[in-house]
Amino acid sequence: MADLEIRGLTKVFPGGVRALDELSLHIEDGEFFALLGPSGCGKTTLLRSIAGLETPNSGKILIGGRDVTRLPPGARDLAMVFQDYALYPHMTVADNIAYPLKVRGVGRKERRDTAESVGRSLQIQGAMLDRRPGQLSGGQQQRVALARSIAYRPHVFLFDEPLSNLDARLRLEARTFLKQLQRDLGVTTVYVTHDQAEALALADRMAVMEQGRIRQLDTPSNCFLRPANIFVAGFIGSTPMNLLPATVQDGGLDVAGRKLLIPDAIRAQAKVGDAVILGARPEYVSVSATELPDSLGGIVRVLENLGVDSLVTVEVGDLLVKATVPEERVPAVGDQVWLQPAQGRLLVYRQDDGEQVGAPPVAPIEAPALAPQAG
Amino acid sequence: MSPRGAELPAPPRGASTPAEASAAALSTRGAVAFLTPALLLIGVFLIFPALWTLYLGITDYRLTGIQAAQPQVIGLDNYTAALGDPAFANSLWVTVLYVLGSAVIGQLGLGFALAWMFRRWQGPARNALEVLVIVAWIVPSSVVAFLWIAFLDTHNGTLNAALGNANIPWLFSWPLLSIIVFNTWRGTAFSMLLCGGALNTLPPSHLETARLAGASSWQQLRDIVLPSIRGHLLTNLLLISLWTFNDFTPYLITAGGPNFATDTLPVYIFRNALVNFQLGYGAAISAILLVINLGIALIYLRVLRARN
Repeated sequence: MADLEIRGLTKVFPGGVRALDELSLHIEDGEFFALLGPSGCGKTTLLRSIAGLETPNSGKILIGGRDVTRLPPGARDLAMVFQDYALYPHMTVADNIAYPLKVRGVGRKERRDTAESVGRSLQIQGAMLDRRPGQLSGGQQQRVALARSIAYRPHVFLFDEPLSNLDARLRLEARTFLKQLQRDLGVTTVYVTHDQAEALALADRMAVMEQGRIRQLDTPSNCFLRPANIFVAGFIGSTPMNLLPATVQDGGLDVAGRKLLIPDAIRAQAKVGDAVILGARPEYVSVSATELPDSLGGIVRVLENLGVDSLVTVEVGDLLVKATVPEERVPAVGDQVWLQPAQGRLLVYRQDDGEQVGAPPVAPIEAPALAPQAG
Repeated sequence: MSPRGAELPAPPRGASTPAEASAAALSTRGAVAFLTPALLLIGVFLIFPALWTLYLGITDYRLTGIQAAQPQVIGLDNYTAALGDPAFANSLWVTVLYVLGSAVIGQLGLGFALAWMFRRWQGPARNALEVLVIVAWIVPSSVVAFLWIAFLDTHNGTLNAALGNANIPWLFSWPLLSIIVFNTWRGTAFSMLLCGGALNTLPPSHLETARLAGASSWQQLRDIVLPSIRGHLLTNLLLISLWTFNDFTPYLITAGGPNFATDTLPVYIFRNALVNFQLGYGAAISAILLVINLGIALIYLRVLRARN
């Protein structure tokens, strides 16, 4: 088992796309770590650099304290599961699982034994071992790919969106299974996904990436409850967070002509006249049919049924604010309602750099460089 | 007409209405009408000559003399004569060597090696490479034959000049090797393009998984690449084997010589039928060549099917 350290990793592709920008990161031994971000944010490039499938322009990668930056993929002692599973169609399931062992010169008998024992722990057994991957269902193929990566006991698992090709229901089952498996094996795991729900559900810690940089490195619950900036706030959450322009006033916040209380935590840092963005998750906005003090009054415009609750879109002045309401208290379209963010759940960001009020200013992200820079 | 034809008896279940029946007849007639011209062309230019060749093969038809006017059916005499003719055995052996050397080893081997070596090349360099090999493939045979005669000439040839006026009589001392190298050079482009296309169908993740497991290039090739593109390789092998078996271009360089060293079966047929005027005998050999080609095709199909 091993920890994983990334130091100042930079990767510029030919053509000038800066996929990784001086990225540093430490992943603990046995940790389940998720890399989350929109497509093109550099998460896959980071994973492939760790694997040795991409060569970074500068920076270092250490696995268990050993510098592997210049080592070929096969010498790094890690296993990767790809989105398409990369099962060999011409080999049986057992041969697929044991292929890494064959490469290492393990004998036929021992390979078969390992395939059987690893397969059994993943419910791949009996006649299934002698089938071809093409005869298996998507979920079974996914487990075979997992079995192959487990079979040779690597120090680090790399997952590149391994659940994306499964249908929604199976994906949830596979997610639980994967988390349980990682717990049992205790192998350091890096998991790339663009699905924020997957990252929140699986990871011990996660990095939210944008344009080759980490925008927030934290536990899933902190990323969800206290996004460090507007980017993370907008990216995480299955219903998009309300991001409302506001102005700091004496003793409160002005939102579209309405007044909200200023959160205690930032009262000291906010100056009167500051332009800010308020972040409030729809789940943390309460809807009242009677007028409340320090709330946003508006008219219900859209109702969306989410199952357990409904998503209400309310027109407040020239803003649209969303809130979820439980099934028994759904208002009607056209109703006048008053919205109030829950205590301690209202987030305030600076309008200029998008960071939380009170956080130190950060360097803005530049436009992608046009020419590769010397590393 | 009553609304929705309510008074009409419903047609019996399973039977077609007159309209449907006439539509079916029309479509059958239409299909025949569309197919007839193509079938006529195939019949006149492919099936008739093939049957005519089979017929000629059992006659003593010649280009001159009494048999030209009144050919006699002589049964299987042509075939027994061919099988007893050492020159025929020589031609068959030369052809087998020519196919093995230039198609199987030369074109497929070199073509795959080039495709594998240059698989990561992209952009202008790759285009330049492809243009270069395709040129060798599309230049007319007579031009190419002249170029190779000039290249291999004993006294003024480019190759001997490059070797420092070695004056090696390539086409005399190494005739079969010369035409094998020639045909390899000529046909490798096709195999290279086909293998390159086949390699492109291989998902990158397959090789990356193997690399992560520590597989060497050779292991990747043996365990993953070759089994994955086996179908492409066999189809390619079938095509180039048949083409090479029937290839007449070596005649333009060596004319079958010296001393029948490059007397491949097509050259043998040409010599007997059109130089020695024995059309009946040539037709019989052609039929044998056809059977050999069918045999090759059957073997490949068998191997191809064996994968499943």
